[in-house]
Amino acid sequence: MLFNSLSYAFFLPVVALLYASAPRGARWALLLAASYAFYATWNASYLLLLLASTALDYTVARQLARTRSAPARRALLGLSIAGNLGMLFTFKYWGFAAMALGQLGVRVPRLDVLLPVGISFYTFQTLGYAIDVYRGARPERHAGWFALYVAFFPQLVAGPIERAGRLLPQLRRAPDLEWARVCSGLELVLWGLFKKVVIADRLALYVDAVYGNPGLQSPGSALLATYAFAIQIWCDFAGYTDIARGSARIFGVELMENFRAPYFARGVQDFWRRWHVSLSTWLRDYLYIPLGGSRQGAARTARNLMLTMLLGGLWHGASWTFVVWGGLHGVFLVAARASAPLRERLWAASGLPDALRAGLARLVTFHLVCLAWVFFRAETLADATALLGSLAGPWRAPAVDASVFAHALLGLALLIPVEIARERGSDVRARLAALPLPLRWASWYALIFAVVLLGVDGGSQFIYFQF
Amino acid sequence: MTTRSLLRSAVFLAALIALDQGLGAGLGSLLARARSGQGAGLVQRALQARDAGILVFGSSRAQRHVDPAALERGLGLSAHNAGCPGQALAYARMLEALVLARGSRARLFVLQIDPKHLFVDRSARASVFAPFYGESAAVDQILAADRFAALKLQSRSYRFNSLALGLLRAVALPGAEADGNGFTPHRGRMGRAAAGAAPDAFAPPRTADGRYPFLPRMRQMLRDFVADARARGIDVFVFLGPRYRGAARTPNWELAARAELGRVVASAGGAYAPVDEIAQPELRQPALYFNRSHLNEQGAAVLSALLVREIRTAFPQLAGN
Repeated sequence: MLFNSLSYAFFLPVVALLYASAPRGARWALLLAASYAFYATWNASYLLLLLASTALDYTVARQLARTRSAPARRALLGLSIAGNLGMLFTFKYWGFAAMALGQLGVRVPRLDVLLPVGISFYTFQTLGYAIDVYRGARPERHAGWFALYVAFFPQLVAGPIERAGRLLPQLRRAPDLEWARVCSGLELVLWGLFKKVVIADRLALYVDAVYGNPGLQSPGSALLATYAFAIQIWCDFAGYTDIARGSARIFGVELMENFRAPYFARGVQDFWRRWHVSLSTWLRDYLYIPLGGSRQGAARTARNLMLTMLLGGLWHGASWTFVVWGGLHGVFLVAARASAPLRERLWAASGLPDALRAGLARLVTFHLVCLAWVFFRAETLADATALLGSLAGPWRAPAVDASVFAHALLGLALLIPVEIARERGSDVRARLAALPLPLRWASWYALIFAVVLLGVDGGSQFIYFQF
Repeated sequence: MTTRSLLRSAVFLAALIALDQGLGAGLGSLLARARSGQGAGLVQRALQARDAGILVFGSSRAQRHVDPAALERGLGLSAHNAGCPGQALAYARMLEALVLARGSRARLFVLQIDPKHLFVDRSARASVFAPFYGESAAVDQILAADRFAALKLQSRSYRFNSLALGLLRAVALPGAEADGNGFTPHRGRMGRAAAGAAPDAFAPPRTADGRYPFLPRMRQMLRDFVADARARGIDVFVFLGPRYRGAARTPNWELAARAELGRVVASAGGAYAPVDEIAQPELRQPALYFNRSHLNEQGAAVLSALLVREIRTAFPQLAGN
């Protein structure tokens, strides 16, 4: 069941009404049943994997809390890591590994299995929980609450990857539905839907056409598709996250913010503080820092950054394109660290004003990120290089479907000022809430009719659902 | 949640429904003025021309290939080309249903068909007919393919989804096609790169006994197109247009489809003829093409003349009117 489908438009209010009428003690069961039903609409048999991951980490965490012996605790943590990553490897990476080994002459049998939706998200979430308990956090004793923490439907299939310490206490509170919160949640859902169907899905029409024939594009088309994809993936994933956060807010749960105006970043490191924050902080806390972080000299830091980004790339998908995407970000981060003193000296010597410096930094960062997106979007490395090769050809203007860009630009004309205001620290939602009721309603109606009239109908999948 | 909150929600929803109806009505009046643009403007233009003696239906390979002036000269009936780029059989079927629902004095419907369109359902592309929801049972049936589609179409503004900007443009800046006869030929000749481009690799599923069955929905749509027109005394001529294939052979599935098309059209009471590069060797000359799928202006003139000849053969009573 997609967030941008009519099925979800029925599902969400029905669950909210049932939640409101259920006794407080039974609300977890209702939300859990709804979450499993939500997941089962994709593939009911894969519920078993979700249950297996839940059972494994619930049991491991409970055992960890009872076990004092360090080797036994390590073994328990190892069991969780092996179980979660084993599941992820089998269903997500087996085919890729078999293909890579096949190219080296090693024959490995292929598994014809569908990728379980959300597996990368919920395995990382439960794995993070087991690591937290290993590090001393208190485990959840109630199996039902823990199962709900893993399966809570607004964030089950594409995050945000929540920490137990944040999400479980909110779920346990099970507050009554509150009118203002429901309105605020619906407002966020609507805003996310706007980003997804008006901007992301519209630009996807152009991007898909260009990436369908990457070697036949004019430089203008290749460049435009590169920028368009940067906007598309942001609006797609940020739109999904807004719908997830809005849906959760209805039930009194505040999911973490996953995006903070990422294309305003002044460096690649800054970009990762703003893009898919729940993943970047997960990778930082459970991979980069345990590897040694930046505490052991420049060379080790560079190695840790590269490893983290390569694995972060591979987390997105079993393909060399994602490995290159992660690798490029790793190179950018390492190069940024290494060149920081030189850049500081150059800036100081140039005497350019800070505003210009910030603008240039944003521009360069955006283009570095765009370059990496080419590998993220392309089906194969050959497609990515073909598209980049198209950029180098003699200049020809892009072949443009005016209707696609007219719709998307209209959407961006609303989105960009909102993002600029947020970047400057203005709470747009609070300002909207302070408006008189008729104006507030007028803004909602405008957004609803923008989605209805300008959105792409057809319920296309969110990009991050495939991870 | 208080009674006040619930009351407020009810008012919000009531106002939303009223706004939806008002916005839909406003866009409907824009639609009535649109005469150009693929966002329903071409449909409106075709409906306006529904009393022409001959109406041509099809995709860009109708719009760019069939010259109504040639049909008028050859058959003595007024003609309008209602072909629309990117569209397929569902578009033709819905347009025909609207034309018939509004009443037409046409004598002949000419339908250009691409064999591929009988194996792939492209009905979703024909959402330009959503503003006409409720005018014809055939249109409603194709648009409301599932229960959610039927529900969404209850919203009057939703019927203009992705069409509103195009309508505004068509009304503010009408295209050249607003007053023409619908024929928009390609000018220029096919370059060497286009001539050498790889042919479409599409191949429909094949049954164990070597047949290539049409999609049942598409077969029915084609039958309904012919049968509905015949029921109102309008003759129907279905034809296959040419493609530039160079040295490539026509795929087996296309050869099978050529024959099967004839059987389906004849069973519903229509006439059928392939007017393609296989049946008409003069259509193999590269100089007649703009690209591998489309003739240029010169090619369109050749094809239109051939069409006149085929129609006169199929319907001798039409000639000389």
